[in-house]
Amino acid sequence: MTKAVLVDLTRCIGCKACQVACKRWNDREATPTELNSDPQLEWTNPPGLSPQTYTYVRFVKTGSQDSLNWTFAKIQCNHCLQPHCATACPTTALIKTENGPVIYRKELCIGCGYCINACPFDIPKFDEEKKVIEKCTFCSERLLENMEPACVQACPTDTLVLTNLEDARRKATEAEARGLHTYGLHEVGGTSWIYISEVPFSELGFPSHSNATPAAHQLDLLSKFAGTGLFIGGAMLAGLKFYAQRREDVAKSEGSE
Amino acid sequence: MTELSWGILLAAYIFVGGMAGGAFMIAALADLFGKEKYRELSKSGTYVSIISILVGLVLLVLDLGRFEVDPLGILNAFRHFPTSMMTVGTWIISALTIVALMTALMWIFEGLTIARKLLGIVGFILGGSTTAYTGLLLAFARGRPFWTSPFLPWTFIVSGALTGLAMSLLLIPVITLFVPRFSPDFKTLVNDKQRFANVLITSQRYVFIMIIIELGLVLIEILTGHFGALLNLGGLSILFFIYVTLGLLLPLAVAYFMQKTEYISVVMQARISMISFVLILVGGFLLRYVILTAGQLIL
Repeated sequence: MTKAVLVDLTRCIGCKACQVACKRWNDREATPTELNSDPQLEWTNPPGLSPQTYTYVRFVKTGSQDSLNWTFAKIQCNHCLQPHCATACPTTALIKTENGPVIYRKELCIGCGYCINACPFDIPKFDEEKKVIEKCTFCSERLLENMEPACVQACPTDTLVLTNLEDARRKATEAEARGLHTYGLHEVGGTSWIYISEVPFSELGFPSHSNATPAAHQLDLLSKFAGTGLFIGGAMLAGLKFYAQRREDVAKSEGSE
Repeated sequence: MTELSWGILLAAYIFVGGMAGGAFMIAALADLFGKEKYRELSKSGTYVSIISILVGLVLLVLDLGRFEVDPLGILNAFRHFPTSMMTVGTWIISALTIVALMTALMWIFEGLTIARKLLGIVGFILGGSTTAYTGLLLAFARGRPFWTSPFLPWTFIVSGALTGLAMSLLLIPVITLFVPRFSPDFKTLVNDKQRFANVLITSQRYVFIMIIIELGLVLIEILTGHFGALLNLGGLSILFFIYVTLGLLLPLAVAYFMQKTEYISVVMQARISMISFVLILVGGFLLRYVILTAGQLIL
């Protein structure tokens, strides 16, 4: 059964237990951090993902000064249903597994970095020293043992709930019907981590994406590419015809003189 | 700010990859429709294609930086066909390498003319696909909206053909100067100043057309707002400006005035053309570098 995680941001208190649990389980080193340079995110620490940080909690100030509000948004790989990273990967080092996680097989990776540029959510990070990609694994090894991902287990408020994909999508759809905002139901064809929030995701710094899957995205570009080619070709033929006609006219007028 | 996973080495790879494809396209067209008048250009284009692919391979290996750890690991890039654009490109450029090598052998041993021309048709398609791949590779990257444009691959195709032609014409005197024995007919052409000037003048006519198309594509990208950000990116904007002025507009002016042959001696025509071709090459590289870097900075 395909697993999914429902991330209900209306419940998050920003305790960062998920951040710590992820570091512990994945044996990620502690690194000196700094506050985020963006004033709207200044209490976000660490400021973003890195090879040593698979997840972090974004502290977002919303509202005006009189009604200042905080929203805490956990960021990690969304484990897309049809991942752009895995589609782009030339070596199949990144693959989508049947039970949900997008996993990385470093023995196949050549370090080309295409996944970094292909990911719609800017998730994979390159470890320059080890020449490997680092990103959230969905604790795939824990899932195989019927355990929750480390972050889900550590969450004290049930912001993170491990469930199956159908259940997560149904609950998110119900939340949408109640007027809440969702992320991951439609974006890039859907993801295995689906968010619910009272605040629009554009205000939380989540990128806006259409529901196009990698195949649809590529097909759309290819058709436009072909269309552009036809236009350029047509323009060139018209130009050549005009040039040939003009030469003929000039030759005729010179002949008549 | 996002990290730059693709730097100057990859920009250079995309540049030489495009040049490899473009040079073979020009070489094939010159061979198929040149009626033996442009056989040296065709020959030179084939050599440029092979040299560019080899240089590209070295650049790629250096960029990946894993050769000492896993020298054959790069072969894994053939695995994900046809889903990954990078794998598709790897197969296409490999096929182009084989076709270009076979064509080069046919040129060196001066035989199998019909087979060479037939191979030229296949090579033309592979060359076009190689240059297109370098653009589509970027356009398909969903995380970099700056690259998501159907015009970008066409810009790279035209630039690939332009730089391929420029490099092919530059290589003829370079080989004559440094390894004249490798291709005596290059030396014959260079020494026949009038004929060499004729080849250059005809080539400049195509250079003119290609630059007009490339400028048109760049203008469309700016007007549609796609390249708009390039006008406000500090150092990158300066490089973009240099690309447009020195890499396109100046060679365009040269290509135009080369048609007014009565005012310029044949030797001067050759010299000015060579300088213009160097500028085209510099511009072609700057285009790749600016696009590659800007795409990773603008999210």
